[in-house]
Formats: sequence, C-alpha cells, structure tokens
Amino acid sequence: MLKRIFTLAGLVATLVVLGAAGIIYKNQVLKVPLLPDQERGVWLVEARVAYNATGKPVKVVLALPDSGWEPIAEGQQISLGYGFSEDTENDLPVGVWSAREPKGRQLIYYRVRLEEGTGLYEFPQRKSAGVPTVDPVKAKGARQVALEAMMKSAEQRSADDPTYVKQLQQLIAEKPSDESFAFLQRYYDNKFPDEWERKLVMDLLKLGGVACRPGFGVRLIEERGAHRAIPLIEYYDRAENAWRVVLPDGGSLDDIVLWSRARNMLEVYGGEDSEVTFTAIKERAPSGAAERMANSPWWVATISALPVSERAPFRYTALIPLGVLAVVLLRNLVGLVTLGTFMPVLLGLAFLELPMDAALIMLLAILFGGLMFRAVLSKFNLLVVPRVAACVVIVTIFMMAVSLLSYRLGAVDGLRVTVFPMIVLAWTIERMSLIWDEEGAISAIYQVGGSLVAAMAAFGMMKIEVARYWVEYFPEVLLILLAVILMLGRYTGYRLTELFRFRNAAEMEV
Amino acid sequence: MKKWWHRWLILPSELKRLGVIGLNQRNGRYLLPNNNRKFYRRVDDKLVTKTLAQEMGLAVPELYHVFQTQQAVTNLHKALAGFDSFVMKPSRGSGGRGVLVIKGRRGAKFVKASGVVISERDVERHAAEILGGLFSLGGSRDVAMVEACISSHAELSKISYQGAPDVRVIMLHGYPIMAMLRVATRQSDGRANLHQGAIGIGIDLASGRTIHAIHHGHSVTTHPDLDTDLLGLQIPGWDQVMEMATKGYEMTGLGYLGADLIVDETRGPVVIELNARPGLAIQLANGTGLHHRFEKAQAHALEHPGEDWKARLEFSMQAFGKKTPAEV
Repeated sequence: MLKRIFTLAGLVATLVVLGAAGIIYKNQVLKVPLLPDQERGVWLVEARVAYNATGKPVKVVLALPDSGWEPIAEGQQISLGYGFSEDTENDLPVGVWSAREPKGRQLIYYRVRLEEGTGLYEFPQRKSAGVPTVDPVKAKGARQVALEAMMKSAEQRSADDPTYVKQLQQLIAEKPSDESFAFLQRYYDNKFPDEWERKLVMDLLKLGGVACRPGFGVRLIEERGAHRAIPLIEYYDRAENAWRVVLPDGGSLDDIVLWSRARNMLEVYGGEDSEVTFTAIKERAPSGAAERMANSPWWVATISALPVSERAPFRYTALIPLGVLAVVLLRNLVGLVTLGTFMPVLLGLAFLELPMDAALIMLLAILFGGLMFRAVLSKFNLLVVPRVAACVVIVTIFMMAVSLLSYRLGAVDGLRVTVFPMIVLAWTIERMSLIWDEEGAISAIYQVGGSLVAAMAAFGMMKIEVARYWVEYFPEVLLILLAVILMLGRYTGYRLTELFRFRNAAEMEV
Repeated sequence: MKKWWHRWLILPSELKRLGVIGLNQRNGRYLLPNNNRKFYRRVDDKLVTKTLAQEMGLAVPELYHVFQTQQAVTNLHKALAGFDSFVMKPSRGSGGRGVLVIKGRRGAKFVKASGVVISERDVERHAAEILGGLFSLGGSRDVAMVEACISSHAELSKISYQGAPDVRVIMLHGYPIMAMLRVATRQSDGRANLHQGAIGIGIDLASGRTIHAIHHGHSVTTHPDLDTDLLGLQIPGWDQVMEMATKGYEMTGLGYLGADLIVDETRGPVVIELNARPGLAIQLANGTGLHHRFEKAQAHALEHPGEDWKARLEFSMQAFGKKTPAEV
C-alpha cells in the first residue's frame, strides 16, 4: 500500500518537474510569452508540393510571394535532398528545387509568414505607371464567333471596365444555358481543366480591350485545411488608371490574399502527377519566439516542428485531454451521472465546430427524433445490433435533413453537423431508451442532462483561449495535466452529489 | 442534531464523523486494492457463480435451461415445456437488468410477476435481446439462463409489494460488515433497486432482526403500500443466511464483496448472486456508516490472517451486532 503511494507520488512529481522545466525553458530561454498575443495575428502559410519522381533529374519551380511576406528561416524551406535557390521568372520571384534522382512520392514544403494588416492583404488598387498593352486573343472559327457575340452582349450592358467585368463574372456564376456558352465552356474546360473559368473571362476581357493578367490567391481560414491555390484575375481599369483584383466568378475576396502573379503556380520537370496545396494557420506567439521554437530540437519544438498541414489537426487533438479533465472533475468530484464515460468529450469537440446554441438545438432535435424512431422500432422486435444500426442510419438522415433545411433557411451552421459523432449518438439513443424503459423517463432525462452538462463543461474547457495557446506552444502542460489526473485518481473524498444524497444521514448515530 | 442546512446537504466533516463512505473512498480504499480483476468473472458470470456455489455446498435456484444461441431461442417452447414458473436473466447482466420473472401460464401465454400477460413471442424476444448483449456489461454477447422461480418465505413476502425481498450482506476480507433487506414497492415495480423506490431495511447482524428502514432516503417504519410494520421483524433462517454469505469469500477470493440471498419458503436461504461492487445505500438503510466497521474488520484481518468462515462470522456478530454496548 505504502509502496504504491510512494511510486505514484514519484511519478506525479517527475511529471510535474518535467512539464515545468519545459515551460520555464521555453519562457525564459526561447522567450515564448505565457499569454497569447492578442494584438495582431501572424499567419503561417505553407505550400506543399507533391509529385511522383520517375528517377530522372528533377527541377521543381514554385511561384513565390512577392512582398509583404516574410520567408521563414532558411533551413526550413529546403526539403531533404534538394538544392534550393531563389530566382525570378518574368520579373516574378520563384523558388527552384533540384535533385539528381529522387524516387517515389516526393514532398516539398515552403513556408512564409504574413502579418495581418500588411502588404497584399487588402488588395490595394495599384496605380499603373503607363497604360499596359492588351495581348491579342488567338481565336478562330466558331470559337471566335461565340466569344465575340458574348463580348458584344456584355459590353452593351456595361458602362465602364468594372461593370464590364461584373457582366462577365455574372456569366460565369450563372452559366446561361444558351448554345454558344455551352460550346465555350466545353472548349475551355477541355483545354484548361483546372482554371477554365479564369481563361474564359480573361479572353473575353482581352477581346473587350481590357488588359489583364492571372494571379493566385491563398485562403486564410484555419478550419479550411489544405486547399488548392485560388485562380485570380487582375485587370486594368482604364478610367481609374489602376489594377484591380477579382475572382472569375465574382465571389468575395474576404480572407483571400494574393500569393503570386505568376502565370503558373508550379512546374515540375522530370516528375509526374504534381500538385501544390496551401495550408494557413494563425500563429498565436510572436514570430521571433515561434521561429526559435521551430528551430529547436524536436522534443522542444513538438508541434511547431511539424509541417503546417500536419499541425492543424494536431492542435485539435491536443485539446482532448482538457475535455477529459473536465469529465474526470465532474464525475469524481461532483458526481455527475453521464451516459457513457467519454461521450461528453466527443460532443464537446462537436460543439467546438459549431455555435453553441445551434449545436444544442440540433443535438436535442436529433436525440428527440431518434427516440421517437426508436419507439417505433421497438414494436418490430428487432435484434440489438440491427436496431442500433438502423438508428445510426436514421440519425444520419436526420442530420442531412437538418443541414439541407438550415441551408434553405439561410443558416450555414447546419451544414457542418456532420461533425457530430453519429455512432456515439445512436448508442446514446439506444441506452437512453433502455433506461427510459427500465428506470423511467426522469432517470433517462437526468442522465442525458448530466451528459449535456459535462459536454458543455468539456467544451468550455477546450474553448478557453489561453488553454488552447498553452497546449499548442507549451504541450508540456499535458504532463502536468496528466499528473493532476493521476492525483485525482487517488482522491477518496466525498463527491458533491453525495453531500446531497446522504443529507439524511444527519439523523444517524455514530 | 438536525441543522437547517441538512434539508439540502450535509457537510463533509459531518459525514466523516458519522463514518459514511462515499463512492470514491469505496473504490479507492476498499474495492480496487482488495478485488483482483481476474476473480471478477466468478461473480460477473452468474453461471460460473452458480457452479462455484454448488461446489461449496451452497443452495442456489435450480437451473432449468441455458440459451446459448439465437437458433436455440426458436425452440423456446419445447425447452421450457415442463416449467410453469421461471426466471429468465442474462448471465452477465448488471443491476438487475433484463430479469424476467414468470409466475405462471395462461393457455399458451405467460403471466409475469406483475400480473401482466405476455405472449411466447415476447419471451423469445427477451431471450434474443439477452443473447444480443443488451443488458450485459459493455454490451458484449451473453447467454440467457432460465432458473427456478424462488417463492419467498411468507414472513418476508408479507412486507413486499410483489417481487421477492432479498437480503444483501456486505463483506470485507470475508468478514460480514452490514446487512439489509430490500423489499419492492408499487413504485419500484417489483424490483429491489433502492433508487427506483424500493425500501432498504437494515438488519442487526447478530440477531437477524430488522432495525431501521428507508424509502427514498427518508426513515420509515411502515410499508407505504401495504401499511405493514417493517421494524423488529425476524429474518427466517438468519444463521444460515450469514453462514452462506460468509462462505462467499472462500468461493470468490474477493476482498470487497456483496452477497444477495433470498429466503425460500421450503428450501431456506438460496444464493441469487454475488456482487464485486456493492453499493453504499446499505449505510442509510442501517442508519450507520460503514467506515468504522471497515476499519475494525481490516485491523482484525491483519492481526488474524487466514481465519476460517466460522471464526470470521463469530467476530462479526460480536463486533457489529447490536448487542455490543458500543453500538447500542
């Protein structure tokens, strides 16, 4: 007995010392602040090039951002086994990676940092030095006729360059069902599968006498994850004598920044199936500290050492222990009854993805609908596993219905209900209806209520900004958290609800 | 002394003084250190318990049939042909879940303990649900066992609203610590679970007389539905009950153990099941905390290791029976 406590105490002490040492080192030596930087955000944007090497010498040319972007320390952008150099192509910066004979699937990362509110973030209209020349469009035959007809009709309905562009964007957004548009769509889609919309708009612009050039943007939304570069068009507004950036389909430019004005984002010589994707995450620590941390050995750097694309899901996962701690506190210190031990943590994670009120309403709707369906099912005398499986299907259909309905009603939140753990929900419904049958409605509602309270507590714990910052930049704090949970495992005092449960014990004699 | 706050809650210091044990303390101090996981199967699988009990010479309800597969369930009417009354339950169920008590037949139909008539199809479905693992710990597959329905002793059934009252004895290191009788009410629907509205009645270990009763956490003296007196009642065959419960320790090797027995009209006490995680409501039923008794028993067990059931029983009756002046 004594020996067991001693080793546990030793383990707890070791964990706390290790965790604290890591935190102190990062704070004192690497100067990572203990609180997140609220003032301004720094975006970390990573381009990830993937291709299949065929054994021949390879040259990878990636368009790099122009100004307002701060490349991260030299070491990180050079992928293992590649020579790297920066160059220019048509006056635009490019990165060139080369290797003698790489094999198999190859990955190359390039990271940059962008401070919010600087550089190209807001798409300023750039004054032009002189009137640019318009490149002629090389089109013949039926295509020429169709393009000209389309240009004429758009021109007639416009007053100046911006309204002309609007007309073209509308054309792309609405995709009219007339023959000439269908023909052009087919032609461009065939020839430029990834960016037919942009090519078509640009040809129409040029035909209308508007100078324009291509560009690529990156979306600065953390939840978006890895995505392809967004094709942009920069056209020359003759009345204002300035360049303007637009999306081919007239979509909003919010959260999009210009990466490059290059014609091509990526060229790979000597490789196949190449693609480049972008991931953006918000760095919560000041750039200097974040950089020092990323350049430290892996056991210090932890999450920061990972490529940005791997880092995003990691941030999310590292929150789970916080939710688990909330459940331990509620169950063992408060004495809350929940359906399934860690089901509330999964629900809490789902809440993170959705606004709280919408999530709760949706969850209750799904539980209620599921229970009704379960009541119908119980008439058919089904075996357990098929019955729960049927419930999973119904819950899925409910979610789809809720998503569609809320989309129709104009709310976007409903669209992401898929984050709810469906199988967990189906089992919850099954258990709830069993408890309902065996112990009555009050008991069932009591336990579901307990689960919801625990889910909200787990959510609250995972939502705290400082806590999120800590698990990301000081993951050592998880060691201390583990120590706390281990100590809670030895807590033998009363639970809060027991003080209520045993209140009549006051009548007892000792 | 009752204080104003006792309407809502009791202070931890007061509970501590009374020696009331909470769930964390039960788990951390008594259950986890004393119960070896590998022995859990002996109590969690009622078929294993039954076999072990019979080897020890303890009386158990007669086993009629075991349904192992869904296939076998389709032949249910043949398998149960000769039995008018029976209890069907999952072998690895918990908390009394999935127990179906059939009192008799009406034509091709069955009559439940509550008097509700159900069809053979309903019984088959119940068996299928048990096999599917609906009532088992962790939802794993299970087998359905059918055993004799115990007809409770008249002395005891007169204070129960349907359902047979059962005696629960809690033991630490094989020393009986506390006992209670659980009787059903209209509200508990024939079940003996206290939180569903059954009555818990504390029993004096030495004499086997009921001493204190609670319903929904409040002290009561009469049955709310039957209006019969609950206190001062003598449990029939008490010495036998205690002997059988005490032997449960030899049978299972579990240091923290609960034994559930029912006193049959003709056969006397029979072991229904053993429980490796008995709850704490027994404290309220007896109006006494477990802690002081646990400490006494633990100290005694350390001083006298390896005592046989007779010696243990003797110690407990001496130490925890109401007769001893310390507890009166």
